[in-house]
Amino acid sequence: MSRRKIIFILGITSIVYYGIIITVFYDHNRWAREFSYIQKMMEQGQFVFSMERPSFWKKTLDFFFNDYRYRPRYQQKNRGGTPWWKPNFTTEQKKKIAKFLNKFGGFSPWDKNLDIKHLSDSINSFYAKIRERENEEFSKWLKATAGQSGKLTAEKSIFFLIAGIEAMRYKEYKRAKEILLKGIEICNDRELLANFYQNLGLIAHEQNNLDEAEFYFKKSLRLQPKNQGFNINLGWNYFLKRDFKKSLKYNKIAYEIDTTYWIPRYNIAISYLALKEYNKAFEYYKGLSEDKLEENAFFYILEDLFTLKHFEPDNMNIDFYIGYIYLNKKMFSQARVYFERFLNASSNAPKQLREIATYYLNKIKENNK
Amino acid sequence: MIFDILVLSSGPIFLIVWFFYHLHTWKRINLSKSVNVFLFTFFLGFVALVIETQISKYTVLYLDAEELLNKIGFLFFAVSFTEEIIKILPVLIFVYKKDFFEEPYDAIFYTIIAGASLSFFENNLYIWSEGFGVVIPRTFLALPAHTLTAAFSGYFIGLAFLSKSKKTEIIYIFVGLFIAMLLHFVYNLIFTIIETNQLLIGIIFLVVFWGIALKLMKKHIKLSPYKPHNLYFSDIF
Repeated sequence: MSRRKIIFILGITSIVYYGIIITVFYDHNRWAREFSYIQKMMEQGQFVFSMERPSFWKKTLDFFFNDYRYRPRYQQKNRGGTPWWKPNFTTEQKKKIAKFLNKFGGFSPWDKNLDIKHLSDSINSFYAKIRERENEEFSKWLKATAGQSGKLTAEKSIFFLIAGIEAMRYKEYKRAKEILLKGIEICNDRELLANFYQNLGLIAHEQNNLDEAEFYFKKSLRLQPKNQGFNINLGWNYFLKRDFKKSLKYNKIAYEIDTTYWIPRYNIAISYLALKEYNKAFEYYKGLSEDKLEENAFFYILEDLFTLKHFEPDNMNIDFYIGYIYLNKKMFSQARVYFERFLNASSNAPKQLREIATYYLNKIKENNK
Repeated sequence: MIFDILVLSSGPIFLIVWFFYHLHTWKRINLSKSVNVFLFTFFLGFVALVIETQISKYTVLYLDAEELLNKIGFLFFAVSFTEEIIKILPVLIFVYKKDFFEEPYDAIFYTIIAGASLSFFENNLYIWSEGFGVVIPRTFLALPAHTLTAAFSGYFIGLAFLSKSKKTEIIYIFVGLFIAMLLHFVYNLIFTIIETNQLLIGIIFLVVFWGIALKLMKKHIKLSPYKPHNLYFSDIF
């Protein structure tokens, strides 16, 4: 057999071989695998979001994992029910957006059958297209809209919203704000407008401009008064502004919209706690033992309590609630520390709380023996 | 710095090539052609790197996999095949059945050159990434392992050269490739999966199979047309 034939046979064999290997062993969840270390970091309580300037991978990672409940303590200001990168759209709008995104070779974030591989590939192309679009047309649009906004249709405002959200994801808030404000100029859909304002509020929130955030949150709430996430966001904004009565008011509205959702319930609890209505607060916290909350939810609730403690370091009654959360999380040693601290420090505390604290403390001590 | 790296990583390779060059007592092998093989295999080293990283990226077969089977699969399907085929391809392209390819031992020598070249490539790679500390273990373990598997595939290429039918020729090449793959796989298995007495088992494995390989080489050397009693009278007079 000639040398060339042998090389040809070997070449074909290796091509077929690699083809078979890749098709048979193709990893459909390879993205999840690549990001599994991030999950591990989260499980260990290390917050990936405290990292600085994000790389491309980090930006892509954020899409999957960026959720407010993972934000580091005190940096987590916004805690709305809806993550800002998933705005609340109606089904028709979702369809429109999906159709619009498809023009970019994009994806629909609401597709239930979306698999992670497809999603990741789409995100890549989506980013690429957005960038392209931005360079070519988007800058033109921005210039054009300065004088004659009427030329752009309302449908195109969705693009401004998506681009604005994308800029927010890049933490380029100035640019995001500019884009969103331009979008508002051409948007005539009430629900979409609400989303624009909500995101503007979130930008202000991120930049610590709580007054400005309040202004935008209120505007979006006026357009969509029955949106739970919007109510929660405004409520939490008031909480950070230490206007606990208003925080309670908006969280109660959010709670009425959907009583099964846990965030407004524990927001109400902490608002009562901040208003020093300890028994009422405890009634809401009691639900912890009945609720089947995710592990992160406990830390989320704890985080809020620590935020309140940050506001009021001398209020030792907060220690009782922190201890109670730890108790429900079955972190007994921490619970014991906080119960003891509460009992030693606050002689003026409500009787009921003192009795509960001593009861649990004794139980923990007995179990330790 | 670069000079240090080159000396450290290439020194053992020259030694091993020198040894096999002189193993053949009756013939001077064409060294200029072996440079071609060496350089081409070095280039193919990059290709192997790309293939292996892509396989580990896109398939469930990767070295850090939690499941043992995936790890083993990576070692067998990705690493062994890729590296072994890369060792025999330059020999088939530049040497096999050319004018200067005169005897079966030539195949062994050139595949060993290819093996040493791949080892040289890997040595450099590891020195860059992990520091000079890797040179000594790689000299005593990885370099002999690469040349060992190359020697086996070279032995079968030699048999293919001797075979008279086309079928047996290609079969010999594939059998050689498969055996080299298996040996490569076992070696990798020892140093990645096995946790206790790794070094001892590795050395025993290398000593045993090098013994077999040397015996096979001697078989081929005996078949050399340059061996004194094989010479024809017409050649002498």
